Amino acid sequence: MSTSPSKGRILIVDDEQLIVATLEMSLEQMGYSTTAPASTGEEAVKIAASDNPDLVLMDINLPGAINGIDAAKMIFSRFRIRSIFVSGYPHSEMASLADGPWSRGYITKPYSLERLQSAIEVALDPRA
Amino acid sequence: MKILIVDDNADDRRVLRYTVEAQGHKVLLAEHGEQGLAMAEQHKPDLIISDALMPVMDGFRFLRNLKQKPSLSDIPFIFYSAAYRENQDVQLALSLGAAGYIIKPIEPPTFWKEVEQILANSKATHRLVSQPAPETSEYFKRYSQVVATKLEEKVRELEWTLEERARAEANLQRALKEREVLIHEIHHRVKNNLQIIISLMQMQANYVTDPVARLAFKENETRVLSMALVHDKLYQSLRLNQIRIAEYMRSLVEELASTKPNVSIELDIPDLSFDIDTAIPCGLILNELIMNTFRYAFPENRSGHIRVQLRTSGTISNASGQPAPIYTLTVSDNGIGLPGHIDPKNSNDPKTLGFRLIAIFVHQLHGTSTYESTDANGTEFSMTFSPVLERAIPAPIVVDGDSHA
Repeated sequence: MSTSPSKGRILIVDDEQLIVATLEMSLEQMGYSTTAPASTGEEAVKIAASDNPDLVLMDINLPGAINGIDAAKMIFSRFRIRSIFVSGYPHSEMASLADGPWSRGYITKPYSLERLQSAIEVALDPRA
Repeated sequence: MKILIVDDNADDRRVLRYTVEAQGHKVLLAEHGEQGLAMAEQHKPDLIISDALMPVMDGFRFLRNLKQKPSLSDIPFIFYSAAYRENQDVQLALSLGAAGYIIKPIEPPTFWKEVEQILANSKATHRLVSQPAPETSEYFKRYSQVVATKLEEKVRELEWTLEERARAEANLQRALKEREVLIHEIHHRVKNNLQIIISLMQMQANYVTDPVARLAFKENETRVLSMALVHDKLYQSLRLNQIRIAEYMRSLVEELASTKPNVSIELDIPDLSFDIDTAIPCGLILNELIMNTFRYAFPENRSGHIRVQLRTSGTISNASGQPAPIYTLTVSDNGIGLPGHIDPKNSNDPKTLGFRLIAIFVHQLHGTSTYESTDANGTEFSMTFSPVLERAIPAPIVVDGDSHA
């Protein structure tokens, strides 16, 4: 883990390992640090509990019993940590389920790094 | 003989008429018991062949009325019915004085043999003269029993039909739902895979230090994003092969504009639907044009303006003789113009990959394009094209186990 001061610590939740690896690399370049990644909703809740991240990048379609939206709700209600959803599903379709106090944004896949960065900046802005 | 045929079904009447006429008899026709009664009084037929279930007056009431009229009570009466064929139906008919009962449908030659047989029997037993009509109360009791049974049967049939229909409808709804879920799942997977392609490029870009090479990765990322956007729009579209071009181009431009905040982009695009074969090349052309304009027309942090316009500029008769609209896409800017060493027509210059891609997609759209300098020293690209013909998709070949073809 990086020892230089970080702009924030992010938990990446995605079952696609290449996406996880690329996100870890890109986030580090943007000046963020990451916790261990999670590939299921259950794992995400566990890591949120142990690592206390500032923000979660949450895929919605995950293997296992807990989908990304439910995992984000559990992480928010237990630890007050919020999520940016990153999904192939359009926001219009998921809005009624995904939007709420547990959410700090919604990015559809595929996304550019610029879009990702601006979403994270907005999400971690203490003035917001 | 003069034979009266009474049936509410026109087809049945026609078949009976041909059958009877073929035997050399004269035919009278009526559609229900009341009409049959009037015709019987008027024409005094030698035989009556009647359906049982009919509107206005059914066969049982018709027969009972006949038997109550002395002038008509001797006319032999044969039921020919599909609806009433239970034992109690036949018994009621015979008790009312019917000479016989034939169950519908039956082949014409057999039918006529049955008629002859019934007539011969009734003469032999003198049934038609000796049979007394049952007591009124007894008649009504048996008649209502027969009708009620029939009614129950019809209600059951109707209930079954309704249930069957509801089942079919539920199956159809389920199939539609499944299809919808499947299509969404496919779009979702396509977008996820495009994200993986983009991740691969981002990962690889990180391993090169040459800024030109890094830029190339970045540009390809943008191209993949512009194609992915088509899936996003298709996914939300009701018609699965059509997208609303204005909405698509707006999202595309928004995505690009975020990388160059000092350049404003104005869109003037009508609300038209394009099929994917037209929309994808259009999107890729717009993507290349805007990326080129960002790079050449507005170097460093120069501010400026880009205008994107789509117009219907005429109609053309397509290959199948139908009129098809001609569109013109114009992208103009107020930048510094193309640098002298860039020639959009020289597609072999590696610096002009964007222009080469534009030429390829214009060709794919069977369009023509021009680049011109504008008064404001900027550049104007203009492309004229007509939507691509629909695909003739071959039907999948179903190979059975025995075929070696």
